Amino acid sequence: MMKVTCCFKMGHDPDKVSQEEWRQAAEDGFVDLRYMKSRIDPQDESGLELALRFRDGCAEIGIDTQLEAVSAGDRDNEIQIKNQLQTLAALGFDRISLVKGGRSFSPQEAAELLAKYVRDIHQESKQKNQLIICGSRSSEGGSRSVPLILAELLGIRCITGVTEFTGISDDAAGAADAFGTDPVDKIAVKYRRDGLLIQERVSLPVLLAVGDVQKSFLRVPTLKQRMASASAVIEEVELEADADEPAEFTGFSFESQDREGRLVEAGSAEEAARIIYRELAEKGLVNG
Amino acid sequence: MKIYAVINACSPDTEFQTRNIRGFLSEGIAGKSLTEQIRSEDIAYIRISGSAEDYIPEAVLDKLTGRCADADLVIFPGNDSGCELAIRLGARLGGAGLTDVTGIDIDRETISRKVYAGNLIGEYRLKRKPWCISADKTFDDKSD
Repeated sequence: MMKVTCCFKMGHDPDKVSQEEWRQAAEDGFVDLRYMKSRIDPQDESGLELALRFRDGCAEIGIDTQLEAVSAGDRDNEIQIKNQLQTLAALGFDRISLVKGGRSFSPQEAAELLAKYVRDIHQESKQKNQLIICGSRSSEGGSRSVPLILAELLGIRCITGVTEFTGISDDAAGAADAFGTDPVDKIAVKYRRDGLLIQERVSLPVLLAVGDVQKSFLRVPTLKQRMASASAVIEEVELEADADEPAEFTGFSFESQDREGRLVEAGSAEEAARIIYRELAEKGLVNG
Repeated sequence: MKIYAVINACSPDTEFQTRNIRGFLSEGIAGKSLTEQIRSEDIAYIRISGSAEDYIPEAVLDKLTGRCADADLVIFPGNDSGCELAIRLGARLGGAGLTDVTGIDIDRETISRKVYAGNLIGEYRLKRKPWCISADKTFDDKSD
């Protein structure tokens, strides 16, 4: 049985906020996006969908998996988090948990809460087969810190920029491993690092920080699935972190993102291209 | 002040890394106490050697933890491996690990970095050394 723990965070789409609102938020010293609909941070969402695909693939090759979803959310988002957890239960997650606490711009605290949850809450989490999934960066702080600090606290390997991960069948693992390692202890991972696309077989336990993955929207449960999971109970956990953030967030400043631009009026794309090329040539930027 | 700058030669983008760090050193640092030091180039460069196939961050971190034990400031480039090493080395050494840093004021012990997908700049007060930071990707030293 391979245990897969998926961590996720709720956030807001920063592209839906106007420049003027960002400017005002900087002047006010805080950002209040509660009027906006929250959603799972995109890379966390990718992680959840990849975990479901991983489960589906493992089932085809005879590997049992246990999926759990956990969010160490801040109190403003608690209702939205619970709604998402119920959706994940409908999609087949075996355990859904909310770790209460957590503040914005406190990655050390978030990592410590998640580490305590993984290490201490469920005794079976100490089993060797442990795969932890996180998004690489949040839409809020975007520091990439939480999965990396979490890996350090747990003392396990961390791979960032993950785009895909799959189980390894007995046959494939048996042929590749001369040391008789249990195939359930290895997975195949694809990830990006510094412009390279790398494929690797990785031993568990490991933490995978999911990067940008195309076509990885979380699937939508059917009405039948929702009804079947209606009695799913969200485990609510109160934990305290001893975190003393090594860097204290003190405020915001705003830098204008305005760009200069000019509309080229032309009858066709070719004519517009000629106009632009002529102007660039006059400025010496291209060979005229 | 003990300053290290780390170049990961296991990655193919070493030219970017060098220009990124130099750009940060010339434009991203404020604080009179550091100006003289940077002008005299009293910065220790650490070059991580090896191949992309053999690169394992945990092994590199084991070595960096020893090398940078006396560091006040460790600067990494803004590529994927640089960001990862900055955060993890900061965690291992009990200091601060921060990425995408757009500026650091040595005298005030503060940094600024992009937040909310670059729509705002977040200001942070550094509480514990060493400060392990990765430079924002936009820094680029084009001088030869």
